[in-house]
Amino acid sequence: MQKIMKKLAAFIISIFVFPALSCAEDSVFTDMKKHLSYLNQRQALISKNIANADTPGYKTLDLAPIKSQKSPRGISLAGTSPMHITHHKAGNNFQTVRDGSPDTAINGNDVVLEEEMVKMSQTDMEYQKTLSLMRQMTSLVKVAIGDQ
Amino acid sequence: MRIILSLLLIISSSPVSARNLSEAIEQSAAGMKTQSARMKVIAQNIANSGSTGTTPGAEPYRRKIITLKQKVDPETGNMVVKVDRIGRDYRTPFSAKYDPNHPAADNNGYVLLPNVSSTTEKLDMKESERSYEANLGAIGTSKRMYMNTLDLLR
Repeated sequence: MQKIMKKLAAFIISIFVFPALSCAEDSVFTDMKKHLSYLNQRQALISKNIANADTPGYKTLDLAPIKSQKSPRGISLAGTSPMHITHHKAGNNFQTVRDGSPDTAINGNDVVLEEEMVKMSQTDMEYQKTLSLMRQMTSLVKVAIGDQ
Repeated sequence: MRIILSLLLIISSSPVSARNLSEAIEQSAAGMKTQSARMKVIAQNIANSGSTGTTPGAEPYRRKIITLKQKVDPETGNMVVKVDRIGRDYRTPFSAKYDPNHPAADNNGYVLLPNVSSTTEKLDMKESERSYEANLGAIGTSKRMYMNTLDLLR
């Protein structure tokens, strides 16, 4: 009896989970992947800013915040190859913007070390958050396929 | 089932992290390298703050100046911070001390002393130390992010 109940639960969950994974172009994983990619690039930029805190003439860089894309209505084209045209924009190119403080040092450098540290810990926290969400999603899928 | 699941995860997570996080670590490592080169120059300046010439009228030690610049790393093609050049300080004048018995004393009995100011060097050293620590912190964060991404495979 318990086994049947278990299988039934798995079946119900699979109905809810798999449409999200397959029909909606596994949008949950895609979005999370995009977010992780953004955070990774941001971390690289912040590291660059910190490393160049004493370089003359260096200007602070940051990534522009991610804009939420409106999900297209109706059925969208499936993109199974990078050559296919879908509503998703190809690649993970985020816009780099200048993010210096107004008080520039005498050598033309405008990096504020403290602000960069704050940005870095923000990025780190966001990253951990997204990763744990991803882990949750994975465990959901695991339940759905009966592999606990 | 396990294989499919880990495959799904590998596809969805690995291309994301590897390149950018290793670039972050590379940038921080370059920063640390330049800061330690800077520290070396500062140490040389402090150590030589009393180095006078040995012959009459000879120049004493001239303060060294390090400049940093962004350069392309030939291995990865990324712009990283590197030592531009280590030059000498020709702007700050030497100070002089009256000491006629010194071997480097000129005709008037004055000995030229190095143009090293211990206050400037100490400030530079503190700044360098702070930057080094900041870079170290950045490496720690990048490494933790990387490790947590790997943990996703478990």
